[in-house]
Amino acid sequence: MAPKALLAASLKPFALSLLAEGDSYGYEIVQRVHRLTAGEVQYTTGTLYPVLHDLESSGLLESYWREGENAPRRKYYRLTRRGEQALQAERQHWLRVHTALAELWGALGGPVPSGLALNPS
Amino acid sequence: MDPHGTNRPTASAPFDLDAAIAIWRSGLANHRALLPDDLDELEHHVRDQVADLVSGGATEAAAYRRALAEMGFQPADEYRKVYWGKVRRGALGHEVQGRLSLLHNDAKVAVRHLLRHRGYAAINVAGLAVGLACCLVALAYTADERAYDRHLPALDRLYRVHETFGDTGVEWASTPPAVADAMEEAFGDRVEVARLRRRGTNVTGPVTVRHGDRLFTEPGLFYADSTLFDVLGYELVAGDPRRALTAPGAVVLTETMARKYFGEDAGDAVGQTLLVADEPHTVTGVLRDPPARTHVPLDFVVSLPSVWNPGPSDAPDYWRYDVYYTYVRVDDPALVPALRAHIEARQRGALEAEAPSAFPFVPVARIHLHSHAERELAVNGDARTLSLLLVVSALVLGLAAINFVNLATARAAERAREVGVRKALGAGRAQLTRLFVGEAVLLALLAAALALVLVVVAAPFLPDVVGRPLALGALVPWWAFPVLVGLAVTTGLVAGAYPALYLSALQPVGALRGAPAVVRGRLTLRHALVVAQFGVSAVLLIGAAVVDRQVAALVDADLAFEHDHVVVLPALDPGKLDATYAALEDALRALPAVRGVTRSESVPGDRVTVEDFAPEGQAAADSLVGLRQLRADETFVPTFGLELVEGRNFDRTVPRGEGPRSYLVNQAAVRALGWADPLGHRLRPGEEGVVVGVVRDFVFSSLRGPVEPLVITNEARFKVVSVRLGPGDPGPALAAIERAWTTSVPDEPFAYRFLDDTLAALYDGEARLRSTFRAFGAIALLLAGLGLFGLSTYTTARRTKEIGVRKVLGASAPRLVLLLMGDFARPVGAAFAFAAPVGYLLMERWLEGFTTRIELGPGLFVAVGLLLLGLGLLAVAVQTLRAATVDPVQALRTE
Repeated sequence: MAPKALLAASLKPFALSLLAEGDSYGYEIVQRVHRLTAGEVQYTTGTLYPVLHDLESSGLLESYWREGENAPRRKYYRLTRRGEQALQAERQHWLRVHTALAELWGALGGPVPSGLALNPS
Repeated sequence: MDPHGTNRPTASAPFDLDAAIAIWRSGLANHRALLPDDLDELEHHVRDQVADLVSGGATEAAAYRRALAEMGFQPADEYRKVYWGKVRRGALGHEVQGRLSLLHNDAKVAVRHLLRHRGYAAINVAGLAVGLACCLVALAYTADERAYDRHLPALDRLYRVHETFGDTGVEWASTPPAVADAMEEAFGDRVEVARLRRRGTNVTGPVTVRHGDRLFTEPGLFYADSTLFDVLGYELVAGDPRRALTAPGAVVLTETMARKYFGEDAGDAVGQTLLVADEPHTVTGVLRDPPARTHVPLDFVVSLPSVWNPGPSDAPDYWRYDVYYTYVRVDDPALVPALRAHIEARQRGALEAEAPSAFPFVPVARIHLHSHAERELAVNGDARTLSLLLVVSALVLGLAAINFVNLATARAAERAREVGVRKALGAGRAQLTRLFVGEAVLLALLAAALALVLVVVAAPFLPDVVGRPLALGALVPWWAFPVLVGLAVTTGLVAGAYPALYLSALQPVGALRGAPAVVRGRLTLRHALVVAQFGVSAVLLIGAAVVDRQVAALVDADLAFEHDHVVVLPALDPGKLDATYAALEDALRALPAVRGVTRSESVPGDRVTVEDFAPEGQAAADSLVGLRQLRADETFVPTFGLELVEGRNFDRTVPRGEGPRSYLVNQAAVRALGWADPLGHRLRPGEEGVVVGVVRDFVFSSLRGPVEPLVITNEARFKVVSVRLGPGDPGPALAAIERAWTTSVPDEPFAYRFLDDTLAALYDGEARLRSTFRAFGAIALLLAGLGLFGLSTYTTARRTKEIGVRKVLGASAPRLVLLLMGDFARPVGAAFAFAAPVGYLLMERWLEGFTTRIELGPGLFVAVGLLLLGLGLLAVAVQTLRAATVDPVQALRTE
């Protein structure tokens, strides 16, 4: 399990990135992150929703209620234009940190975890 | 303490996810940071997670616990951080929605709390409902009484002239005919005058009215000036209001009467013929039905020129006798003093030396509630009775409100822990106040609804209290609903405010530890309130007991004449009765059940007229004495068992009209006239007469005050026949009497009444007072009992531990009962100590002036005191017994 500080810091980029793939709802976001990190990162309800609401009130996300065919009524979130810009900014920050760390760790040797593979654009 | 302890379902019960989620949600619903939308989102999250975990093999209960655990301790705190200082999305709409959901939630909590404490809620609601019902009845009755004559236009300029006689001070509602002329001659252009006259010169004057085979005895027939409709502002649906009453033999009748006599042809009533006392009259108009609430119960109005036998008292310039009801509409009320002065000057001029009268102008608007003159046209109401009713009902509402405050405060201590939890969870003071006040208002509104039901249920019994029947519409007028709701909400606000403010001020830590010690200090206030309640109840009970016994004493009072089994037969036409009386008397006397037969102008219990008499040898002007005058023949004294203390009865062998008149007087008259030796004295009511006998004082007009001076004259103005029967069922005798009547007096309808019923009217006011006191005394006692019951519930619950300790130390259950009851006997005793002297003084004043009266002994007070004590103990008995018999181990564990 990742340390708390990292969890808190990574929630925003996770949420923005997942929503960049398509609209989603809270529980799905939690589950996707859970699978992506092989159980390493597990957000609790108590931390997820306040952040989502915070992002929404700063205009990075929009929310709407959607009735599913067989699924219950759920609150979906969608990335706004400002959200996309914020995602780009986040990416810059995280990539800079990641590149720096990867360089340091590459010099030290050892494999880079596949799940966090560098994806140069 | 596990933060989710209250949410976790117990192991024994099957797990219900929906219920668990509902409980969890309601726990979060109070947070302002959380909107219903947020809760929905969180709930769906939990449900998704539970579904996943369950499909992974977990039990629903375990999955739920885990989902909640993941959510963290206080999701609301996180939300609050996010939204701190920010306007929530969609600001106003969400805010309103949030507040509504809060109200909804408060209401839910209130309803749940009340359902859990049904006994408490029932006592509070029932008590307040009774208080509200009393208030509603009093208000409705007052409104109904005040509605009298309000339909008359120009009410503020409409007066009836009365005459107050200078010598006796007696006020009559009627005047001599000359009053109308006097006003018109001096102020003709500024006043509109109309006179009303009964058919007879006496107060009662039912008349037979016939059309074809429809023959009825009509009490509502009047003779009137042609200006009547104009003065009163009455409308005719047919006929000309200004001309309808000008011609002799013209009659106007109401729509109701038109239908009664002409049935289908009511529309064409005008021009038809009615026989009024066998004289043909022509219908000249149909009057729109006046409202029932009027002091002039008009059914028929006959033109004044058709008066059946006008006498000297009908002459336009006659000033001596009052047969006319004089109504006047002035163009300006400021004119009244001038009018009055003019009338009084005219009377003094016309009658010269005699004692001048005053002619008060009574505003028609005040007649029903404030006029209590002789010869009123209808039984009037009484403003004092209304005030009494309002005051007593306000008292009763006050008692109920005290219960409300008391019980709510008593519960407060028990709810201290709840308040602590709510505060720890972040509830603000305003929210708590709203919760408790909301509960009180909710209860009060329930009580208002119940009060309406009570009024409807009690409607049949109300005439005993208020003296006349009230239609349901009058009892529950349209404004009853807003008034009830207003009263209820006010009571709820006031009653809820104290416990609410007190409780919301509690410190959460202290509150969580249990009932705070501060509550103890408030006990004195609540005890004082209970003492006040019992005090008021005790005064009302003493009043009820005294009035009760006094009325019983009045019923059994020695009226000093034979009044049992006396049947009174009224005759409408004295002339006819005179002509046929001999045959009737013979027929009646022949009946085996008949013990005596007599005829007279009236009987004891009826109104008896006052006439001025001048004693012999004194100048007429300064020595007129007002004597009640009763006209009767020589059979009156034996039939009614009057006791002759001096002299002799009338002599039948001396024909009336020959020789000097004979008079009988009572002892009061002898005293009033100052005679040492009354026999042989002469009196002049016109012609001179000689006093031939003195009868012992007997009650003939009122049970209050001493018996008035009376003279019995042997003049032929007989209107009733009285028949005294032997004891036993009067049914067969009545049938025989009716046969005798219809054979002997064929043209007069047969009617009868029992003298005892008439006499009962003498203490009608007292009997009504008795009902009022009984009803309100019982209600006050009930409320006080409820109050004590509530207080005992609370106090006993608080002392459970003490009781446990006492038991462990060896106290027996009976001893404990005595101990606990002793505590409650004290406030009752204190209340009684305060109420007894108040009750004594009030009732002693009321008893003053009764000829027949009871004495207020200690027995009555002891009885009332014991009754109060018994009921008080009964009220606390249940709780006390329960507490005293409880297992001490249980008791010690409770706190």
